[in-house]
Amino acid sequence: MTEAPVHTPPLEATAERLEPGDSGPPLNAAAVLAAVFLIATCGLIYELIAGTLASYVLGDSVTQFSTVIGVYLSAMGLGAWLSKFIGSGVVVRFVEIESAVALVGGTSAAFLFLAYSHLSFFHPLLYGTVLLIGTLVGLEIPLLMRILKDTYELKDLIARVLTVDYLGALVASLAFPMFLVPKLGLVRGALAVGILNALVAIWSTYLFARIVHRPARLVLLRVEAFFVLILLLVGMVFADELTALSEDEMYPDPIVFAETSPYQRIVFTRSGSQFQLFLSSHLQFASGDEHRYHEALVHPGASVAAGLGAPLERVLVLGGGDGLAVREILKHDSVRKVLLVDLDPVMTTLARDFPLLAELNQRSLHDPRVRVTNADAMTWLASGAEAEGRFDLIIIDFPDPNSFSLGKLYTTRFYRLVQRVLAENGALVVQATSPLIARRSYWCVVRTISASGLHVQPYHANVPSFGEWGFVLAARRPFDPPSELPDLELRFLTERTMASLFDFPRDMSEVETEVNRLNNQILVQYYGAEWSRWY
Amino acid sequence: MVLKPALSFTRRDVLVGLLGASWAGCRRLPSSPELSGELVETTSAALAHRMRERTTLVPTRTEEVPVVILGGGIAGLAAAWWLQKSGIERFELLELGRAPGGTSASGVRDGLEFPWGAHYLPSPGDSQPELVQFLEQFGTVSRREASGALEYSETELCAAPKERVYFRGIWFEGLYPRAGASPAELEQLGRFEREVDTLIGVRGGDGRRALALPIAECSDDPKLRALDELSMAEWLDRLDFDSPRLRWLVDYACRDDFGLRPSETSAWAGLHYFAARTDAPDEDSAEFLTWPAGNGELVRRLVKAVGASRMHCEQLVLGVEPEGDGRRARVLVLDAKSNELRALIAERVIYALPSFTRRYLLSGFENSVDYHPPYAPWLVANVHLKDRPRSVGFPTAWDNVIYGSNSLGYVVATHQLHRERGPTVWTYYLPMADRSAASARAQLESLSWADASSAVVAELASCHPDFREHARRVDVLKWGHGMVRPEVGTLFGGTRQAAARPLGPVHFAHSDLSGMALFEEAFFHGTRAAKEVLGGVRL
Repeated sequence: MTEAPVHTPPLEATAERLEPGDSGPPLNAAAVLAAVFLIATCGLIYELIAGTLASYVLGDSVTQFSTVIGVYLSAMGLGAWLSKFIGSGVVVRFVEIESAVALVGGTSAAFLFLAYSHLSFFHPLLYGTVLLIGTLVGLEIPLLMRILKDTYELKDLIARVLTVDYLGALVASLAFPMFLVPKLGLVRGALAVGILNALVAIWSTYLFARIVHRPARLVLLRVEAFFVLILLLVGMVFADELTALSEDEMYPDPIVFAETSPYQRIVFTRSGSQFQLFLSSHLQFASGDEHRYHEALVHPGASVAAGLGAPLERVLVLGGGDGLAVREILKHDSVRKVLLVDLDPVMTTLARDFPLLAELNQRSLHDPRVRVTNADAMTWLASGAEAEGRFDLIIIDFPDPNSFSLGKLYTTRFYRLVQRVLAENGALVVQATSPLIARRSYWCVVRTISASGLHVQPYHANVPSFGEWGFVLAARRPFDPPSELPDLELRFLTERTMASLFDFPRDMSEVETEVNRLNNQILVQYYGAEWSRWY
Repeated sequence: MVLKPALSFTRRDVLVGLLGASWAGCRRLPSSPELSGELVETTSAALAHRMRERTTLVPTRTEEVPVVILGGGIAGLAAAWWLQKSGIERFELLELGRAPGGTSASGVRDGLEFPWGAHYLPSPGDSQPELVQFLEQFGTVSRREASGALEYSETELCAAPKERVYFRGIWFEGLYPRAGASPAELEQLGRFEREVDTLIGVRGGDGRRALALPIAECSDDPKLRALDELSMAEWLDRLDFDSPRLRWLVDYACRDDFGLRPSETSAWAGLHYFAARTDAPDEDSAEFLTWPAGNGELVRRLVKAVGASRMHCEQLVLGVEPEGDGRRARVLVLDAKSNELRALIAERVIYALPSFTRRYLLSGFENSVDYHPPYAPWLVANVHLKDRPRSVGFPTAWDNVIYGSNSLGYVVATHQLHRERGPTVWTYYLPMADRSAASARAQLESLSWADASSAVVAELASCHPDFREHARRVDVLKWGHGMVRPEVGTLFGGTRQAAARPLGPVHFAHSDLSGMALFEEAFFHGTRAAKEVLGGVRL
């Protein structure tokens, strides 16, 4: 085995030193400018990702976006200033910084999403990450300019580098909304950009090979960059798992308000004149068609209660903290008392005071007939609900049974507890997910209510933003589907429409199911299996 | 070189001793947690140990009581319940502890109840009529009018999700970790389930079921009883069950029900665990009944039904011997509160104490049988949390088992309350299965609160990253004689069955007479002894 001749650098140059024009051709300037272009593009994209992510998860997009960008830009200034402390070994430092940007920037979106879902101190992490990426990116261009300083004259150098830099920014600002977010999403988008940075790092080790002594050092740098590249590629493969761990990515429209309560994440999005409410990423209503849902939820039950002879004076709403069902209930003049029991005080406060929602529910929670109690419905029913007396109409509007803690609110035990506060002639209505998408789940709810000892009439309505939606009407005594509707200001229901809701087409008709009980929670299984088939 | 006896244990030694060798390599030893807590005693051990001293004291009082029940565990309470139901007015129950209940003890703190020992009851079928009758009395079960089938109360049946297992850093639904199991392993699980299913249907030459409840009703067929001569591990070996996950499941089952490893467990007992709670092949296994106080809830109901006035706690029985012509018995008992020594002359005695006390307390009876089975020591800790720690994977269930651990994991005492947030209590169980009963007991006795609680915290923090943020208090209870151990050959090879026969006026009732510490067996023996007494009284 022969040893390669060892080039012994002069003593003062044991640290890498630029030796332009030493031997062979100078740097390939066009290639270096291409690297500048890529670096600039990546740098701006990280900034856009952090800003978008902050407004996604924290809401209030203007403030979040501008503070993130402010921090990012000042961090770049910090990086530029720090570059003066890098004396010798500029190339090595540059490649190291490239790898670091690739790693930190590439994983930033995934890291921040995960941190958001799992950590309570999200703000310091967000700004810390932005600061770190900004600083690293701020170091890049000054270092590159120093690498190029002997290839060009100063005026040329500045002109060329900055031109390419701004060009990169333009490309980034176009690619981000048009390609990156729609095609890749934030997590994959950041990883893709990180991969680009890692490739630049690897490429640089070849590009600058002739101006660096100690090739062994270069090999090490190359290995580092390859390692980062592989890590990011693995991240690309598992990005879906990562995002599933983080808050679902995310909403089709811009977020106008978001708040996290101890129970759920409340997000309002808006597109044009329409707005939507999401609870823990599940759509609760869209302002454009929620009237279909809430009219169908309230009025058929009210008609049945009236038909059975109930005075329709006292109404109980379980769930439904948005106040929209209460709005419909208050259309009945006979109503003297509405009790709304909802778990989340943040939700009911928003329904009262958040202008967008308070306008939509016609300030129903401000009505003197309405009282709000914040409690877990099951706990409330099991302890002390009977002190409230019995109700002529009970509206049960919980989120779909996608967890054990929601599934318990659809058990025979729960419906037996509800019966304790249901008036002899009263009626109750349960929202019961989609009989089209989750057919077994829907009929399981019907069967469970029936098994708890009530007579049932299943029905459904079309709510375009949800699809076909199912409800169950129930009463202590046998009853027919309602046929009469008092003269109310309704936008969806007529007497003929209402009658048609009780007809089930073939693809939603009854199927055999088990009864959902506390000790089997079979509905959560049905629901999970059925919805995962569609989405 | 002088070998020094290892007298002092480091915390690492204690941790490894309790939790297993996998903790030997743990680099950062958990510091003693900054938590409050204490060692809890349901019975004064010092008082109990005075049982071994033969007293020379002369009783200050002699009283005549028709029936005396010694021991207020489930067997004694069930006997009292049956006597009371049968119209017997004059009987007295003597209990050593501060409250009745035995190993079904429970506690309450800050409005939350929690078990200190037994914490569930598989819902009984019609083969246990007395137990069903007791549960009917308190509305836990009713009979459907049409079919006559038993229907258990939805709020007392264990709510879903029931079980999960912590395996390689993630919680999975159920007890058997299916994630990543090879087809061969799953095949073995299926084959094991089929073997058990076959055993459920097996009947002996006498027409009785091989493995059923109560154990006294099981077939006498020697071919079936031969299983007792085999260890559970040997049984698995013979049928080529070598899947690590299946072996772990069986190991967990043996430790859970018997405080034993499969290599020591009678295969008859091990298979009984899997087969006895199902009435027929292909049927689902009986669902569990459970309450925040665990079986402490059943203790409360028994006490309520019997009447607390008939029960006397902190009573140390010092001796039982024949009185006069031997048709009556004389019980010597020390009231630990007043330090008064009484002699009770009883027509009948129901001896519902663990059988290991017989050699200290029984004297003067002919044909007395010495039955001294081994008992597993247990460590139970109740961990009070101000809110629910996070888990990765399947959400918190009732029973939360840690794969590969020496412990059984923990049970959420508030599970049946259906509150997903706020304060809770986790009951952590650690059977001392790895040594002989006596040396394990010595190890347990030497354990300080700090050592025990730091082991508990170390293990729970290893599967919940934010556990330490939420834990507030750890109380620890040491059960020296937690449950009888059905070791190989102890069920049918020894004096167990003979020990259940009456000695003159003394009738015996305890779960250890079945060789297994099951609520059902204690209840069976209690009501059986009460029926013997009633038969005798009528005569």
